[in-house]
Amino acid sequence: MAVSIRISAVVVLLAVLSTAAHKSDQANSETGCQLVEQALQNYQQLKVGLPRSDVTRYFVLDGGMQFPSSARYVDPRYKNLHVDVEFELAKPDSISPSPDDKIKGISKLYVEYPAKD
Amino acid sequence: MQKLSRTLSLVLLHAAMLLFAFNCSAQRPKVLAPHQPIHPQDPPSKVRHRPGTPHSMIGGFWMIDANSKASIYLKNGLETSAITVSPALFLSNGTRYDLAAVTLEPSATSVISINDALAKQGVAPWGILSGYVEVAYSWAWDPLCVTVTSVDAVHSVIFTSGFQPPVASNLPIHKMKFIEGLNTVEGVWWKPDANVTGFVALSNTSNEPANAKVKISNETNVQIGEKSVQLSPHGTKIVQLDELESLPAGATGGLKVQYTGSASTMLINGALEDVNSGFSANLPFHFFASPDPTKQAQETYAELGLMTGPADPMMSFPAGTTFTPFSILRNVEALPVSVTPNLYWMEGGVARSAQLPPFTLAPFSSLALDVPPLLARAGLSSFYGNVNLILDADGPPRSLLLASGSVDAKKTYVFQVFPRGVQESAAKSISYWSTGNGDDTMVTIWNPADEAQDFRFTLNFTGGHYTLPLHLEPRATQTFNISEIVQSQIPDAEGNTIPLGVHEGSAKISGMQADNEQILVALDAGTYNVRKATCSYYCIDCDGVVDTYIDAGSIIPFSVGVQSQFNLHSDWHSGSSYYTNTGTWGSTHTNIATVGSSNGMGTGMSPGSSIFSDYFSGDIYNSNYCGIDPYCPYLGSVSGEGTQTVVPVITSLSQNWATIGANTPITINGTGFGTAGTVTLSDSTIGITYGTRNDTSIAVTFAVPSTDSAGILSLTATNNTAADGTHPTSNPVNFQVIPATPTPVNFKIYSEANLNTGALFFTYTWSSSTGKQSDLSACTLGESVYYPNYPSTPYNWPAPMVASTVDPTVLSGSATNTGSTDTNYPPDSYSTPYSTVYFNATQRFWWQCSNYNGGAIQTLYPTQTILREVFKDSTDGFWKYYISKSGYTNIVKLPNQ
Repeated sequence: MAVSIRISAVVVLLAVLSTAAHKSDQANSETGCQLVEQALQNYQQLKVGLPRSDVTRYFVLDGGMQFPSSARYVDPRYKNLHVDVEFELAKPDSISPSPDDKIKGISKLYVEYPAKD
Repeated sequence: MQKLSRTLSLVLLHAAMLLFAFNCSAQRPKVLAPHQPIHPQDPPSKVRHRPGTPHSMIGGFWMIDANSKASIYLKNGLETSAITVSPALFLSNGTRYDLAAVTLEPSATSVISINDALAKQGVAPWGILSGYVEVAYSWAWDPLCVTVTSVDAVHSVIFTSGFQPPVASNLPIHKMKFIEGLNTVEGVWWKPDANVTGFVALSNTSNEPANAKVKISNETNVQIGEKSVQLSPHGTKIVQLDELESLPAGATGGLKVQYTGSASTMLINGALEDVNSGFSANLPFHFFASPDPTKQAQETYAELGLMTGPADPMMSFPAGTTFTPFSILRNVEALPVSVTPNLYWMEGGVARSAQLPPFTLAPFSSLALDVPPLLARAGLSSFYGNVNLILDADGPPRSLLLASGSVDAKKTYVFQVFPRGVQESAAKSISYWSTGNGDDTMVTIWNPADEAQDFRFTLNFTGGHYTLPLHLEPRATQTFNISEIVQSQIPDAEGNTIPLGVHEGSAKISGMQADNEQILVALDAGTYNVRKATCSYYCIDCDGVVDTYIDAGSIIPFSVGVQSQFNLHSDWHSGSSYYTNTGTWGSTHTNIATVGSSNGMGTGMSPGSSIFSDYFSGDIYNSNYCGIDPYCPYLGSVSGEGTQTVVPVITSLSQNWATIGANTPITINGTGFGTAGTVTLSDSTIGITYGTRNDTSIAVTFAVPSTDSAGILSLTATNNTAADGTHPTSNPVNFQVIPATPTPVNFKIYSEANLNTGALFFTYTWSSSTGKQSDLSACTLGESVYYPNYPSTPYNWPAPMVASTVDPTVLSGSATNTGSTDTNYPPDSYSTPYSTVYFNATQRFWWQCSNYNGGAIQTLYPTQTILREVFKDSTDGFWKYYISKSGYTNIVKLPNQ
């Protein structure tokens, strides 16, 4: 059920992105639909319980403040596509996040300007 | 008898000079091109912006009638700022007319018709009127180059006059002559044709009446006439040189203008004219005394682009027009001057030269060089084209007053050339060029060095610029018309061309690397109009320093034991700023701070204040019109100073927060506190009780009233026992006032790393006031970043930076984390062409707890500024992206360079 909601949200975004994606340098050789489809496939790889290192296989960190227990990621090729992920910390007192932190929650894929700070 | 012998000696020397001419460039000492290190440029965000103060320049003698039109040519020497100029016209009776203000964009030019301006004021412009001009503006220095031309197109007569600040600067060259209790200015006249007459125009720019007299002398300085005039406040009078009428063609002599009042308040302009033939020329004047009339100096003057023989067909003169060069000299000091003429010309693309025998000019004597025989002796009797006449003078500095140019046989076409002092300089600017209404501007550039040099010649015009690279072999000359560049439509290195609709602008010649790169070049430009048979020249000035200061050093605060690199920054008249740690450094109190004598490296010795100074030989901007001194810039000592305070340093606090409604004991640790250091908090309601104090620690108890609010304060420590009696105060550290409930405290930068992309990557840490991080479960910690267009959103970054961000960007997380990262990214990409731009974003860190003050936002850390900038690095010529925050910086080269 959760997955179907996510998918429908993404489908709604397709029309918006098909135009916007053309503006991205990274997207010059791909259509917005292809970008979103790829991002969606990547997004579907994220599962609760997987390690943080699995998130960074598909997404990159957004700019600005990032916390070990919750982080904002963007699609590496179209940085207006975001996903927020919550983690169960392997070392709760550590300043830095650990690749072994486990995914605790995943937001919908959403569109927003990337944070630059 | 003495006069006769002087005349004879002049004639004999002149004759001897004509007998010998020989190629002897090998005997000349080798002149090298400058190879000095270039001071780096401050990025635009670090350029100091001094507040403007009321300034003005005066000058521009103008003359109009039914046939004559006069125009004011304004050029903004600022390359980074616009400036608004308010001109005013003074009629010969002293009546003032204020004209509409004009805003000049950076490097822009503007032309104001005096005829039209007077008509708008209800003054009939077809009457015979004359006067002078004042231009007023608010700036920290005089960044304008202004000239006025008066053109009688019917009779092909044109006069040009320049501007000067109302008060002469304190430069050593600006010392007026004072003779017989009067300010004295020397001039020279010559008579190329029997019908040529002349006049001297005097403008009294003061609020008081003034008396003036004009003495006319012959070539051996025997007075042949004297005129006296009274001038009303702001009045102008024209003194006719009737004495010239009875003199034969070829005669020459001197002028001496003497006047009452302050030295800088009299504008002196003069001209020769013959309305029948169309001959006109400006008379040169020597406004300032020799800086040191008792010393010998070697000076070189360049009279560039003298035309000889039939006119270049490309210049569209009537068939049969043939030019002959002229060169007039007068010694205006009391000691003889030895002069060695040299001719330089181009033949088959190769620079050729001939040195002619030297001659001596007796004190105050004048000489009209007969140039054609000199050309013949150099083997140039059948040569037609352009030659440069270079005069090496050996006598008291600034002894020579010169006039030169080329004139056709009918004396209709006069190309007056402004003799230029040859010396090293930074970039030089031509204030105006024109290719409209039959005009064209001819530029002559001569490389006086015995080695090749490369230059950039940049044409500025409304809406753009165009850069032409120039390579000049040793002693070579390049002459071109601006119209050729416009019409070529060949893109420059940046892809720019000059739109064919552009017909005016300004120009600059500089070294290939930077405007402040030292070059050795002689430059002249004249705007001619074959149809009107006129030729005018405009202001040529040299880039230079207008102010200096020594910065606060690379390590702030400057404290005991700290080594900090200091730099002398030079503000240039163009609005750019450059810095260096070279030169000769000094410190007034070496017991407080020392500084490396040649490298500006300062060391804090003890708390107190010391003045650091530095000086080096450099280019000082001279805002006087180039006619007042043929040399530019003024080469002198560029010096600056700055007060450096060695302050106490707080290294740590036993605890950097205090609780509302409680007494909190704190120990401040550091150095340089003295024996009775005091502590100051930015909240004066907090009570402070002192415990044990020594040079490295201060024990205090803070009593925070129960009515106080949570927030961030600054805490400083002051040394009250410094050796020099001052009370140096430390840089502030953060101190937090918190509620009794668990609160995030001790927020600080844990580390910073520069990413290859140009990003700054920070790690911040914090803790709980209870010592247990999980107690902060009711609290959130975050940031809000505000961009320049707040409250609008998104913020589209300025080109060439390409990015858009939500404004404000608000990000947060649970305060139970013990740290967070913060990445300050560069833009997504860069658009071309690259250009200079910067903007600031404001970053605020905050916390909120649902169990305090209804979850209201509370300040966690002082506001930080994030500066992002694109600029051209003058040290290597590459465009770069620069970011700074909290004292950390990153810089990367932009792509595709």
